[in-house]
Amino acid sequence: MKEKTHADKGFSILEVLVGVTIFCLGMLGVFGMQISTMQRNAFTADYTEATFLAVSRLERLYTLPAGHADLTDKQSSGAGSGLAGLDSVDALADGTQSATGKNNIFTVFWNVANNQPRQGATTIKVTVRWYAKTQERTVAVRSIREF
Amino acid sequence: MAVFLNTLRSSRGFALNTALLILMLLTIMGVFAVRVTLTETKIATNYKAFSSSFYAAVAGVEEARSRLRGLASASGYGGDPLGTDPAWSAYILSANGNWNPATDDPDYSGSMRNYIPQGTNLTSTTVTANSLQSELPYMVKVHHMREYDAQRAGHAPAYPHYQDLDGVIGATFTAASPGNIVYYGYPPGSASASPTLFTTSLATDMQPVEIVTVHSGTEGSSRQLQALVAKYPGPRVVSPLYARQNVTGNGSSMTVNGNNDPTCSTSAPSLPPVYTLSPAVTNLNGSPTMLGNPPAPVQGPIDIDIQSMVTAMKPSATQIITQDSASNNNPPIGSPTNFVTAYSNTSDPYNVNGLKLNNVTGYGILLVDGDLVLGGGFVWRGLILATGTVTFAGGGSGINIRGAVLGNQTIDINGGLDIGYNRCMIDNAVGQQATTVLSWMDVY
Repeated sequence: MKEKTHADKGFSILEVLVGVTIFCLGMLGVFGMQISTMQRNAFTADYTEATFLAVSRLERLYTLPAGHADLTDKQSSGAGSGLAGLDSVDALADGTQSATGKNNIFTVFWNVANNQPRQGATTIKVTVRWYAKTQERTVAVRSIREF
Repeated sequence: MAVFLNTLRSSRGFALNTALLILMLLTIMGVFAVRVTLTETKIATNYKAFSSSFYAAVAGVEEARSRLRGLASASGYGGDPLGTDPAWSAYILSANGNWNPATDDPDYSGSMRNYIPQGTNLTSTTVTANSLQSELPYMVKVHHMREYDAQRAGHAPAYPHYQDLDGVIGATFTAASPGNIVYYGYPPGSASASPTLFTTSLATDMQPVEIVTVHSGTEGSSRQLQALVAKYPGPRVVSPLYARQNVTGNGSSMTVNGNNDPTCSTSAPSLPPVYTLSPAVTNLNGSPTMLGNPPAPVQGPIDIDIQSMVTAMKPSATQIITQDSASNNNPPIGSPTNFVTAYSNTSDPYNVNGLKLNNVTGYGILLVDGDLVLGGGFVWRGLILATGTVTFAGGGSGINIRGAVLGNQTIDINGGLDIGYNRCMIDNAVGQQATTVLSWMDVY
Protein backbone atom coordinates (compact mmCIF):
# COMPACT_ATOMS: atom_id res chain seq x y z
CA MET A 1 0.00 0.00 0.00
CA LYS A 2 2.85 2.27 0.72
CA GLU A 3 3.41 4.49 -2.21
CA LYS A 4 6.00 6.95 -3.04
CA THR A 5 5.29 10.21 -1.31
CA HIS A 6 6.87 13.55 -0.99
CA ALA A 7 5.58 13.92 2.54
CA ASP A 8 7.59 15.00 5.57
CA LYS A 9 8.96 17.79 3.50
CA GLY A 10 6.97 20.75 4.90
CA PHE A 11 3.20 21.29 4.57
CA SER A 12 1.10 21.07 1.52
CA ILE A 13 -1.65 23.61 1.22
CA LEU A 14 -4.24 20.87 1.70
CA GLU A 15 -2.54 19.59 4.81
CA VAL A 16 -2.67 23.05 6.28
CA LEU A 17 -6.30 23.48 5.24
CA VAL A 18 -7.39 20.22 6.83
CA GLY A 19 -5.35 20.97 9.97
CA VAL A 20 -6.84 24.42 10.31
CA THR A 21 -10.38 23.11 9.73
CA ILE A 22 -10.08 20.44 12.40
CA PHE A 23 -8.44 22.92 14.75
CA CYS A 24 -11.21 25.40 14.19
CA LEU A 25 -13.92 22.82 14.75
CA GLY A 26 -12.21 21.75 17.98
CA MET A 27 -11.75 25.32 19.04
CA LEU A 28 -15.46 25.94 18.59
CA GLY A 29 -16.18 23.19 21.11
CA VAL A 30 -13.53 24.43 23.53
CA PHE A 31 -14.81 27.95 23.13
CA GLY A 32 -18.37 26.90 23.84
CA MET A 33 -17.20 25.09 26.95
CA GLN A 34 -15.20 28.11 28.02
CA ILE A 35 -18.13 30.45 27.56
CA SER A 36 -20.52 28.25 29.49
CA THR A 37 -17.89 27.90 32.22
CA MET A 38 -17.51 31.66 32.44
CA GLN A 39 -21.26 32.15 32.52
CA ARG A 40 -21.59 29.50 35.21
CA ASN A 41 -18.78 31.14 37.19
CA ALA A 42 -20.46 34.52 36.97
CA PHE A 43 -23.78 33.00 38.04
CA THR A 44 -22.09 31.26 40.98
CA ALA A 45 -20.48 34.50 42.08
CA ASP A 46 -23.85 36.25 41.83
CA TYR A 47 -25.56 33.44 43.71
CA THR A 48 -23.05 33.64 46.58
CA GLU A 49 -23.34 37.39 46.68
CA ALA A 50 -27.15 37.24 46.65
CA THR A 51 -27.17 34.71 49.51
CA PHE A 52 -24.80 36.95 51.44
CA LEU A 53 -27.04 39.97 50.85
CA ALA A 54 -30.12 38.02 51.98
CA VAL A 55 -28.36 36.85 55.14
CA SER A 56 -27.08 40.35 55.93
CA ARG A 57 -30.54 41.81 55.57
CA LEU A 58 -32.04 39.07 57.73
CA GLU A 59 -29.43 39.67 60.44
CA ARG A 60 -30.13 43.36 60.26
CA LEU A 61 -33.85 42.77 60.71
CA TYR A 62 -32.97 40.62 63.73
CA THR A 63 -31.29 43.55 65.47
CA LEU A 64 -34.16 46.02 65.04
CA PRO A 65 -36.48 46.69 67.97
CA ALA A 66 -40.06 45.47 67.91
CA GLY A 67 -42.40 47.75 66.04
CA HIS A 68 -39.66 49.23 63.83
CA ALA A 69 -40.92 50.46 60.46
CA ASP A 70 -38.82 47.82 58.66
CA LEU A 71 -40.53 45.10 60.68
CA THR A 72 -44.05 46.23 59.93
CA ASP A 73 -46.27 44.46 57.44
CA LYS A 74 -47.06 47.45 55.24
CA GLN A 75 -48.46 45.63 52.26
CA SER A 76 -51.19 43.05 52.74
CA SER A 77 -51.34 44.32 56.27
CA GLY A 78 -54.23 44.11 58.65
CA ALA A 79 -55.25 41.54 61.21
CA GLY A 80 -55.73 38.08 59.81
CA SER A 81 -53.71 38.68 56.67
CA GLY A 82 -51.57 35.79 57.91
CA LEU A 83 -48.65 34.78 55.78
CA ALA A 84 -49.96 36.49 52.66
CA GLY A 85 -47.51 38.62 50.75
CA LEU A 86 -44.29 37.00 51.99
CA ASP A 87 -43.12 36.51 48.42
CA SER A 88 -43.96 40.03 47.27
CA VAL A 89 -41.44 41.97 45.23
CA ASP A 90 -41.15 45.47 43.81
CA ALA A 91 -43.75 47.93 45.05
CA LEU A 92 -45.61 45.26 47.02
CA ALA A 93 -42.64 44.33 49.22
CA ASP A 94 -42.48 45.60 52.80
CA GLY A 95 -38.91 46.76 52.26
CA THR A 96 -36.59 47.24 49.30
CA GLN A 97 -32.90 47.92 48.98
CA SER A 98 -30.68 48.03 45.94
CA ALA A 99 -27.14 46.73 46.10
CA THR A 100 -24.39 46.87 43.51
CA GLY A 101 -22.39 43.69 43.47
CA LYS A 102 -19.13 42.74 41.81
CA ASN A 103 -20.63 42.15 38.43
CA ASN A 104 -24.35 42.65 38.84
CA ILE A 105 -26.98 44.80 40.47
CA PHE A 106 -29.12 43.11 43.12
CA THR A 107 -32.44 44.12 44.63
CA VAL A 108 -33.14 42.96 48.17
CA PHE A 109 -36.83 42.65 49.07
CA TRP A 110 -38.04 41.72 52.51
CA ASN A 111 -41.51 40.89 53.68
CA VAL A 112 -42.74 40.37 57.19
CA ALA A 113 -45.87 38.77 58.61
CA ASN A 114 -46.55 40.17 62.08
CA ASN A 115 -47.96 37.87 64.76
CA GLN A 116 -47.04 34.82 62.70
CA PRO A 117 -46.83 32.00 63.61
CA ARG A 118 -48.00 33.21 67.03
CA GLN A 119 -48.96 36.47 68.72
CA GLY A 120 -45.76 38.45 69.27
CA ALA A 121 -43.62 36.57 66.74
CA THR A 122 -42.84 37.77 63.22
CA THR A 123 -42.16 35.66 60.15
CA ILE A 124 -39.55 37.23 57.89
CA LYS A 125 -38.66 36.35 54.31
CA VAL A 126 -35.86 38.03 52.39
CA THR A 127 -35.77 37.62 48.63
CA VAL A 128 -32.82 38.80 46.55
CA ARG A 129 -33.39 39.24 42.84
CA TRP A 130 -30.97 39.84 40.00
CA TYR A 131 -30.82 39.32 36.27
CA ALA A 132 -28.34 36.97 34.64
CA LYS A 133 -28.43 38.45 31.12
CA THR A 134 -32.20 38.79 30.88
CA GLN A 135 -33.12 35.82 32.98
CA GLU A 136 -34.55 36.59 36.41
CA ARG A 137 -32.87 34.82 39.33
CA THR A 138 -33.83 34.86 43.00
CA VAL A 139 -32.48 33.60 46.30
CA ALA A 140 -34.74 33.57 49.37
CA VAL A 141 -34.08 32.98 53.06
CA ARG A 142 -36.88 32.69 55.58
CA SER A 143 -36.95 32.73 59.36
CA ILE A 144 -39.00 33.69 62.42
CA ARG A 145 -38.23 36.25 65.08
CA GLU A 146 -39.80 36.34 68.52
CA PHE A 147 -39.72 39.54 70.50
CA MET B 1 -8.50 12.06 -7.63
CA ALA B 2 -5.49 9.87 -7.27
CA VAL B 3 -3.44 12.92 -6.69
CA PHE B 4 -5.82 14.10 -3.97
CA LEU B 5 -5.82 10.77 -2.15
CA ASN B 6 -2.12 10.66 -2.47
CA THR B 7 -1.81 14.05 -0.92
CA LEU B 8 -4.25 13.19 1.87
CA ARG B 9 -2.36 10.08 2.81
CA SER B 10 0.86 11.87 2.79
CA SER B 11 -0.48 14.61 5.03
CA ARG B 12 -0.34 12.67 8.32
CA GLY B 13 2.07 15.36 9.07
CA PHE B 14 3.21 17.95 11.45
CA ALA B 15 0.42 20.52 11.05
CA LEU B 16 -2.42 18.12 11.87
CA ASN B 17 -0.54 16.60 14.75
CA THR B 18 0.17 20.02 16.17
CA ALA B 19 -3.43 21.07 15.77
CA LEU B 20 -4.65 17.96 17.55
CA LEU B 21 -2.10 18.37 20.31
CA ILE B 22 -3.08 21.98 20.96
CA LEU B 23 -6.74 20.97 20.93
CA MET B 24 -6.04 18.25 23.45
CA LEU B 25 -4.23 20.67 25.74
CA LEU B 26 -7.06 23.17 25.49
CA THR B 27 -9.60 20.44 26.19
CA ILE B 28 -7.71 19.39 29.32
CA MET B 29 -7.56 22.99 30.46
CA GLY B 30 -11.26 23.35 29.71
CA VAL B 31 -12.09 20.25 31.71
CA PHE B 32 -10.20 21.67 34.67
CA ALA B 33 -12.00 24.98 34.33
CA VAL B 34 -15.30 23.12 34.32
CA ARG B 35 -14.28 21.20 37.40
CA VAL B 36 -13.33 24.41 39.20
CA THR B 37 -16.68 25.91 38.21
CA LEU B 38 -18.52 22.85 39.46
CA THR B 39 -16.71 23.14 42.80
CA GLU B 40 -17.56 26.84 42.96
CA THR B 41 -21.19 26.03 42.24
CA LYS B 42 -21.17 23.45 45.01
CA ILE B 43 -19.68 26.00 47.42
CA ALA B 44 -22.36 28.53 46.50
CA THR B 45 -25.16 25.97 46.83
CA ASN B 46 -23.76 24.76 50.14
CA TYR B 47 -23.54 28.30 51.45
CA LYS B 48 -27.17 28.86 50.52
CA ALA B 49 -28.23 25.52 52.05
CA PHE B 50 -26.21 26.29 55.19
CA SER B 51 -27.86 29.70 55.52
CA SER B 52 -31.33 28.33 54.90
CA SER B 53 -31.00 25.52 57.43
CA PHE B 54 -29.35 27.82 59.95
CA TYR B 55 -32.17 30.34 59.79
CA ALA B 56 -34.71 27.52 59.82
CA ALA B 57 -33.11 26.33 63.07
CA VAL B 58 -33.17 29.89 64.45
CA ALA B 59 -36.86 30.00 63.54
CA GLY B 60 -37.33 26.79 65.54
CA VAL B 61 -35.80 28.40 68.63
CA GLU B 62 -38.01 31.44 68.10
CA GLU B 63 -41.18 29.39 67.73
CA ALA B 64 -40.33 27.54 70.94
CA ARG B 65 -39.72 30.86 72.72
CA SER B 66 -42.98 32.18 71.36
CA ARG B 67 -44.89 29.12 72.56
CA LEU B 68 -43.43 29.42 76.07
CA ARG B 69 -44.91 32.88 76.41
CA GLY B 70 -48.21 33.73 77.99
CA LEU B 71 -50.92 31.88 79.85
CA ALA B 72 -51.04 28.09 79.63
CA SER B 73 -54.65 28.41 78.52
CA ALA B 74 -53.75 30.67 75.60
CA SER B 75 -53.92 29.38 72.05
CA GLY B 76 -50.66 27.87 70.85
CA TYR B 77 -49.03 27.56 74.27
CA GLY B 78 -46.53 24.70 74.25
CA GLY B 79 -44.80 24.81 77.63
CA ASP B 80 -45.21 22.98 80.91
CA PRO B 81 -48.27 24.47 82.65
CA LEU B 82 -46.87 23.74 86.11
CA GLY B 83 -43.11 23.89 85.65
CA THR B 84 -42.47 21.33 88.37
CA ASP B 85 -42.08 17.99 86.54
CA PRO B 86 -38.36 17.19 85.96
CA ALA B 87 -39.28 14.64 83.28
CA TRP B 88 -41.40 17.08 81.29
CA SER B 89 -40.44 17.44 77.63
CA ALA B 90 -42.26 18.54 74.53
CA TYR B 91 -41.61 18.51 70.80
CA ILE B 92 -42.60 20.92 68.07
CA LEU B 93 -42.64 19.13 64.72
CA SER B 94 -42.89 21.01 61.46
CA ALA B 95 -45.06 19.59 58.70
CA ASN B 96 -42.07 20.03 56.40
CA GLY B 97 -39.65 17.18 57.04
CA ASN B 98 -41.78 14.28 58.28
CA TRP B 99 -40.18 14.37 61.71
CA ASN B 100 -40.43 11.59 64.25
CA PRO B 101 -38.83 12.28 67.63
CA ALA B 102 -38.07 8.64 68.36
CA THR B 103 -35.93 8.27 65.25
CA ASP B 104 -34.80 11.83 64.48
CA ASP B 105 -33.77 12.98 67.95
CA PRO B 106 -30.41 11.44 68.92
CA ASP B 107 -31.14 12.30 72.58
CA TYR B 108 -34.61 10.80 72.56
CA SER B 109 -35.39 9.28 75.93
CA GLY B 110 -38.39 7.12 76.79
CA SER B 111 -38.15 8.26 80.40
CA MET B 112 -39.15 11.79 79.42
CA ARG B 113 -42.76 12.83 78.85
CA ASN B 114 -42.20 13.55 75.12
CA TYR B 115 -45.43 15.46 74.69
CA ILE B 116 -46.39 16.78 71.28
CA PRO B 117 -48.79 19.60 72.25
CA GLN B 118 -51.74 19.77 69.89
CA GLY B 119 -54.08 22.73 70.20
CA THR B 120 -55.29 22.83 73.80
CA ASN B 121 -54.11 19.27 74.49
CA LEU B 122 -50.70 19.96 76.02
CA THR B 123 -50.08 16.31 76.90
CA SER B 124 -50.80 14.66 73.55
CA THR B 125 -48.17 12.11 72.49
CA THR B 126 -49.50 11.41 69.00
CA VAL B 127 -46.67 11.91 66.50
CA THR B 128 -48.00 14.51 64.10
CA ALA B 129 -46.93 17.92 62.87
CA ASN B 130 -47.83 20.46 65.55
CA SER B 131 -45.75 23.47 64.55
CA LEU B 132 -47.64 26.69 64.03
CA GLN B 133 -45.97 27.04 60.63
CA SER B 134 -45.38 24.48 57.90
CA GLU B 135 -42.77 26.04 55.61
CA LEU B 136 -39.55 25.75 57.58
CA PRO B 137 -38.36 22.21 58.29
CA TYR B 138 -37.46 21.74 61.92
CA MET B 139 -37.98 19.63 65.01
CA VAL B 140 -37.73 21.37 68.38
CA LYS B 141 -37.34 19.67 71.73
CA VAL B 142 -38.03 21.65 74.91
CA HIS B 143 -37.32 20.30 78.36
CA HIS B 144 -36.51 21.70 81.78
CA MET B 145 -32.86 22.10 82.70
CA ARG B 146 -32.19 19.68 85.55
CA GLU B 147 -29.11 19.26 87.67
CA TYR B 148 -28.24 16.30 85.44
CA ASP B 149 -28.24 18.55 82.36
CA ALA B 150 -26.12 21.16 84.13
CA GLN B 151 -23.66 18.47 85.20
CA ARG B 152 -23.38 17.18 81.63
CA ALA B 153 -22.71 20.75 80.50
CA GLY B 154 -19.85 21.01 82.99
CA HIS B 155 -21.42 22.16 86.24
CA ALA B 156 -19.28 21.20 89.24
CA PRO B 157 -19.13 22.57 92.81
CA ALA B 158 -15.91 24.35 91.90
CA TYR B 159 -17.37 25.72 88.64
CA PRO B 160 -21.03 26.30 89.44
CA HIS B 161 -23.43 26.99 86.58
CA TYR B 162 -26.18 27.81 89.08
CA GLN B 163 -26.65 28.48 92.79
CA ASP B 164 -27.04 25.13 94.52
CA LEU B 165 -29.69 26.00 97.10
CA ASP B 166 -31.49 22.66 97.31
CA GLY B 167 -29.10 21.23 99.91
CA VAL B 168 -27.67 18.56 97.60
CA ILE B 169 -24.18 19.54 96.53
CA GLY B 170 -21.69 17.34 94.74
CA ALA B 171 -24.14 14.55 93.93
CA THR B 172 -23.82 12.60 90.71
CA PHE B 173 -26.97 12.65 88.64
CA THR B 174 -28.14 10.23 85.99
CA ALA B 175 -30.82 10.30 83.35
CA ALA B 176 -32.96 8.18 85.67
CA SER B 177 -32.48 10.50 88.65
CA PRO B 178 -31.86 13.91 87.07
CA GLY B 179 -32.06 15.93 90.28
CA ASN B 180 -34.03 19.13 90.74
CA ILE B 181 -35.07 21.62 88.11
CA VAL B 182 -32.82 24.65 87.70
CA TYR B 183 -34.89 27.83 87.94
CA TYR B 184 -34.32 31.36 86.76
CA GLY B 185 -35.38 34.27 88.90
CA TYR B 186 -34.98 35.35 92.49
CA PRO B 187 -34.01 32.65 94.99
CA PRO B 188 -36.14 32.73 98.15
CA GLY B 189 -34.28 34.49 100.91
CA SER B 190 -31.76 36.15 98.64
CA ALA B 191 -31.42 39.93 98.75
CA SER B 192 -30.37 40.25 95.12
CA ALA B 193 -32.44 42.38 92.78
CA SER B 194 -31.07 40.70 89.64
CA PRO B 195 -32.25 37.26 88.52
CA THR B 196 -29.99 34.22 88.73
CA LEU B 197 -30.04 30.48 88.04
CA PHE B 198 -30.63 28.36 91.12
CA THR B 199 -32.12 25.19 92.52
CA THR B 200 -34.35 25.16 95.56
CA SER B 201 -35.96 22.63 97.83
CA LEU B 202 -38.71 25.11 98.70
CA ALA B 203 -42.03 24.68 96.94
CA THR B 204 -42.40 28.23 95.71
CA ASP B 205 -43.42 29.74 92.45
CA MET B 206 -40.43 29.60 90.10
CA GLN B 207 -39.82 29.62 86.37
CA PRO B 208 -37.75 26.68 85.09
CA VAL B 209 -34.86 27.16 82.70
CA GLU B 210 -35.83 25.44 79.46
CA ILE B 211 -33.35 23.76 77.14
CA VAL B 212 -34.49 24.27 73.55
CA THR B 213 -32.80 21.99 71.03
CA VAL B 214 -33.58 22.44 67.35
CA HIS B 215 -32.79 20.09 64.49
CA SER B 216 -33.37 21.51 61.06
CA GLY B 217 -32.80 20.02 57.66
CA THR B 218 -33.20 21.68 54.31
CA GLU B 219 -31.60 21.39 50.88
CA GLY B 220 -29.45 18.53 52.17
CA SER B 221 -27.95 20.55 54.99
CA SER B 222 -28.76 19.79 58.62
CA ARG B 223 -28.17 21.93 61.66
CA GLN B 224 -28.55 21.73 65.39
CA LEU B 225 -28.90 24.71 67.69
CA GLN B 226 -29.38 24.74 71.42
CA ALA B 227 -30.60 27.63 73.54
CA LEU B 228 -31.30 28.08 77.22
CA VAL B 229 -34.40 30.18 77.68
CA ALA B 230 -36.59 31.09 80.62
CA LYS B 231 -39.76 33.03 81.10
CA TYR B 232 -39.08 36.66 81.80
CA PRO B 233 -38.79 36.86 85.60
CA GLY B 234 -40.01 40.46 85.85
CA PRO B 235 -38.92 42.69 88.67
CA ARG B 236 -38.30 41.21 92.09
CA VAL B 237 -41.50 41.65 94.10
CA VAL B 238 -40.65 42.14 97.78
CA SER B 239 -43.96 43.68 98.81
CA PRO B 240 -47.19 44.82 97.17
CA LEU B 241 -45.98 48.39 97.57
CA TYR B 242 -42.29 49.09 96.91
CA ALA B 243 -40.65 52.51 96.77
CA ARG B 244 -37.07 53.66 96.45
CA GLN B 245 -38.02 56.84 98.29
CA ASN B 246 -40.39 57.65 101.14
CA VAL B 247 -43.91 56.32 101.31
CA THR B 248 -46.49 58.56 102.95
CA GLY B 249 -49.95 57.31 103.88
CA ASN B 250 -52.69 59.73 104.90
CA GLY B 251 -56.03 58.55 106.25
CA SER B 252 -57.28 55.27 107.57
CA SER B 253 -59.36 53.96 104.69
CA MET B 254 -56.51 52.01 103.17
CA THR B 255 -55.56 48.34 103.20
CA VAL B 256 -52.20 46.99 102.04
CA ASN B 257 -51.96 43.21 102.26
CA GLY B 258 -48.67 41.33 101.80
CA ASN B 259 -50.31 37.90 102.03
CA ASN B 260 -50.78 36.16 98.71
CA ASP B 261 -54.36 36.52 97.53
CA PRO B 262 -56.37 33.41 98.57
CA THR B 263 -57.81 33.16 95.04
CA CYS B 264 -54.28 32.49 93.75
CA SER B 265 -53.42 28.79 93.95
CA THR B 266 -49.70 29.38 93.45
CA SER B 267 -47.81 29.04 96.69
CA ALA B 268 -45.90 32.18 97.51
CA PRO B 269 -44.51 33.32 100.85
CA SER B 270 -46.18 36.23 102.63
CA LEU B 271 -44.50 39.59 102.22
CA PRO B 272 -44.49 42.78 104.26
CA PRO B 273 -47.13 45.26 102.99
CA VAL B 274 -44.69 48.07 102.19
CA TYR B 275 -40.96 47.93 101.44
CA THR B 276 -38.79 51.01 101.12
CA LEU B 277 -35.18 51.07 100.01
CA SER B 278 -32.97 52.16 102.94
CA PRO B 279 -32.80 54.87 104.13
CA ALA B 280 -36.28 55.74 102.80
CA VAL B 281 -39.07 55.25 105.34
CA THR B 282 -42.83 54.80 105.49
CA ASN B 283 -44.82 57.48 107.31
CA LEU B 284 -48.39 56.57 108.14
CA ASN B 285 -50.71 59.30 109.39
CA GLY B 286 -53.87 57.61 110.56
CA SER B 287 -54.51 53.96 111.25
CA PRO B 288 -54.50 52.06 107.95
CA THR B 289 -54.80 48.27 107.77
CA MET B 290 -51.41 46.64 107.19
CA LEU B 291 -51.30 42.88 106.69
CA GLY B 292 -48.54 40.45 105.79
CA ASN B 293 -45.34 39.08 107.24
CA PRO B 294 -44.45 41.17 109.16
CA PRO B 295 -47.77 43.08 109.15
CA ALA B 296 -46.00 46.44 109.07
CA PRO B 297 -43.92 48.44 106.58
CA VAL B 298 -40.24 47.51 106.42
CA GLN B 299 -37.14 49.10 104.94
CA GLY B 300 -34.29 47.14 103.43
CA PRO B 301 -31.37 47.03 101.03
CA ILE B 302 -33.06 45.53 97.93
CA ASP B 303 -32.55 48.12 95.22
CA ILE B 304 -34.77 47.41 92.21
CA ASP B 305 -33.68 49.25 89.09
CA ILE B 306 -37.16 50.35 88.01
CA GLN B 307 -35.93 52.63 85.25
CA SER B 308 -34.14 49.81 83.40
CA MET B 309 -37.05 47.45 84.06
CA VAL B 310 -39.38 49.91 82.33
CA THR B 311 -36.91 50.33 79.48
CA ALA B 312 -36.58 46.55 79.12
CA MET B 313 -40.31 45.86 79.12
CA LYS B 314 -41.67 48.75 77.10
CA PRO B 315 -40.85 47.23 73.66
CA SER B 316 -43.48 44.58 74.40
CA ALA B 317 -46.13 47.19 75.09
CA THR B 318 -49.20 46.72 72.92
CA GLN B 319 -51.01 49.72 74.35
CA ILE B 320 -49.49 53.17 74.40
CA ILE B 321 -51.31 55.60 76.70
CA THR B 322 -50.82 59.18 75.59
CA GLN B 323 -53.46 60.97 77.62
CA ASP B 324 -55.26 60.89 80.95
CA SER B 325 -58.34 58.75 81.31
CA ALA B 326 -61.77 60.31 80.95
CA SER B 327 -63.91 60.72 84.02
CA ASN B 328 -65.83 57.55 83.19
CA ASN B 329 -66.63 54.97 80.50
CA ASN B 330 -62.97 54.23 79.85
CA PRO B 331 -62.35 51.07 77.79
CA PRO B 332 -60.65 48.33 79.81
CA ILE B 333 -56.96 47.59 79.24
CA GLY B 334 -56.56 43.85 78.60
CA SER B 335 -58.89 41.23 80.03
CA PRO B 336 -58.67 38.34 82.51
CA THR B 337 -57.67 36.04 79.65
CA ASN B 338 -55.47 38.56 77.85
CA PHE B 339 -52.87 40.28 80.00
CA VAL B 340 -51.22 43.14 78.14
CA THR B 341 -48.38 45.58 78.62
CA ALA B 342 -49.36 49.25 78.58
CA TYR B 343 -46.80 52.04 78.41
CA SER B 344 -47.00 55.77 78.89
CA ASN B 345 -44.24 58.34 78.56
CA THR B 346 -45.46 61.50 80.27
CA SER B 347 -42.92 63.68 78.46
CA ASP B 348 -43.78 62.44 74.97
CA PRO B 349 -46.34 63.88 74.45
CA TYR B 350 -45.91 66.10 77.48
CA ASN B 351 -48.51 65.37 80.13
CA VAL B 352 -48.51 68.01 82.83
CA ASN B 353 -48.30 66.56 86.37
CA GLY B 354 -47.97 63.04 85.01
CA LEU B 355 -50.40 60.39 83.87
CA LYS B 356 -53.74 60.47 85.67
CA LEU B 357 -55.90 57.35 85.55
CA ASN B 358 -59.27 56.79 87.18
CA ASN B 359 -62.28 54.60 86.42
CA VAL B 360 -60.07 52.24 84.41
CA THR B 361 -59.85 48.48 84.73
CA GLY B 362 -56.68 46.84 83.50
CA TYR B 363 -54.89 43.50 83.35
CA GLY B 364 -51.15 43.21 82.83
CA ILE B 365 -48.21 45.55 83.28
CA LEU B 366 -48.57 49.31 83.46
CA LEU B 367 -45.27 51.05 82.73
CA VAL B 368 -45.00 54.79 83.26
CA ASP B 369 -41.99 56.90 82.36
CA GLY B 370 -42.74 59.81 84.66
CA ASP B 371 -45.24 60.52 87.41
CA LEU B 372 -48.43 58.52 87.91
CA VAL B 373 -51.60 59.71 89.65
CA LEU B 374 -54.29 57.12 90.31
CA GLY B 375 -57.80 58.10 91.22
CA GLY B 376 -61.08 56.52 92.22
CA GLY B 377 -62.35 53.54 90.29
CA PHE B 378 -58.90 52.43 89.23
CA VAL B 379 -58.73 48.62 89.20
CA TRP B 380 -55.57 46.79 88.17
CA ARG B 381 -54.54 43.13 88.08
CA GLY B 382 -50.80 42.71 87.65
CA LEU B 383 -47.84 45.05 87.97
CA ILE B 384 -47.49 48.83 87.98
CA LEU B 385 -44.05 50.40 87.54
CA ALA B 386 -43.44 54.13 87.55
CA THR B 387 -40.10 55.87 87.14
CA GLY B 388 -41.43 59.03 88.82
CA THR B 389 -43.65 59.60 91.83
CA VAL B 390 -46.86 57.67 92.41
CA THR B 391 -49.86 59.35 94.02
CA PHE B 392 -52.98 57.46 95.05
CA ALA B 393 -55.95 59.75 95.40
CA GLY B 394 -58.70 57.21 95.66
CA GLY B 395 -61.92 59.08 96.10
CA GLY B 396 -65.26 57.65 95.06
CA SER B 397 -65.16 53.91 94.61
CA GLY B 398 -61.50 53.78 95.64
CA ILE B 399 -58.51 52.00 94.12
CA ASN B 400 -58.23 48.24 93.93
CA ILE B 401 -54.96 46.61 92.91
CA ARG B 402 -54.10 42.89 92.99
CA GLY B 403 -50.45 42.40 92.18
CA ALA B 404 -47.78 44.92 93.10
CA VAL B 405 -46.83 48.57 92.62
CA LEU B 406 -43.18 49.60 92.28
CA GLY B 407 -42.24 53.26 92.43
CA ASN B 408 -38.86 54.72 91.61
CA GLN B 409 -39.50 57.82 93.73
CA THR B 410 -41.95 58.68 96.50
CA ILE B 411 -45.38 57.10 96.87
CA ASP B 412 -48.16 59.18 98.43
CA ILE B 413 -51.42 57.61 99.45
CA ASN B 414 -54.45 59.75 100.13
CA GLY B 415 -57.70 57.99 100.73
CA GLY B 416 -59.47 54.85 99.65
CA LEU B 417 -57.03 52.21 98.58
CA ASP B 418 -56.93 48.42 98.60
CA ILE B 419 -53.67 46.82 97.43
CA GLY B 420 -53.16 43.08 97.78
CA TYR B 421 -50.26 40.88 96.77
CA ASN B 422 -51.31 38.36 94.12
CA ARG B 423 -48.55 36.15 92.72
CA CYS B 424 -50.80 34.67 90.02
CA MET B 425 -51.65 38.10 88.57
CA ILE B 426 -47.97 39.08 88.58
CA ASP B 427 -47.02 35.80 86.85
CA ASN B 428 -49.74 36.29 84.25
CA ALA B 429 -48.61 39.86 83.66
CA VAL B 430 -44.88 39.19 83.26
CA GLY B 431 -45.62 35.97 81.37
CA GLN B 432 -46.67 38.16 78.44
CA GLN B 433 -43.15 39.45 78.10
CA ALA B 434 -40.82 37.75 75.62
CA THR B 435 -38.86 34.86 77.09
CA THR B 436 -35.31 35.60 78.14
CA VAL B 437 -32.51 33.89 76.20
CA LEU B 438 -29.82 32.95 78.72
CA SER B 439 -27.39 31.32 76.30
CA TRP B 440 -27.27 30.16 72.74
CA MET B 441 -25.12 27.51 71.12
CA ASP B 442 -24.52 26.40 67.54
CA VAL B 443 -24.04 22.65 68.00
CA TYR B 444 -23.28 21.92 64.35
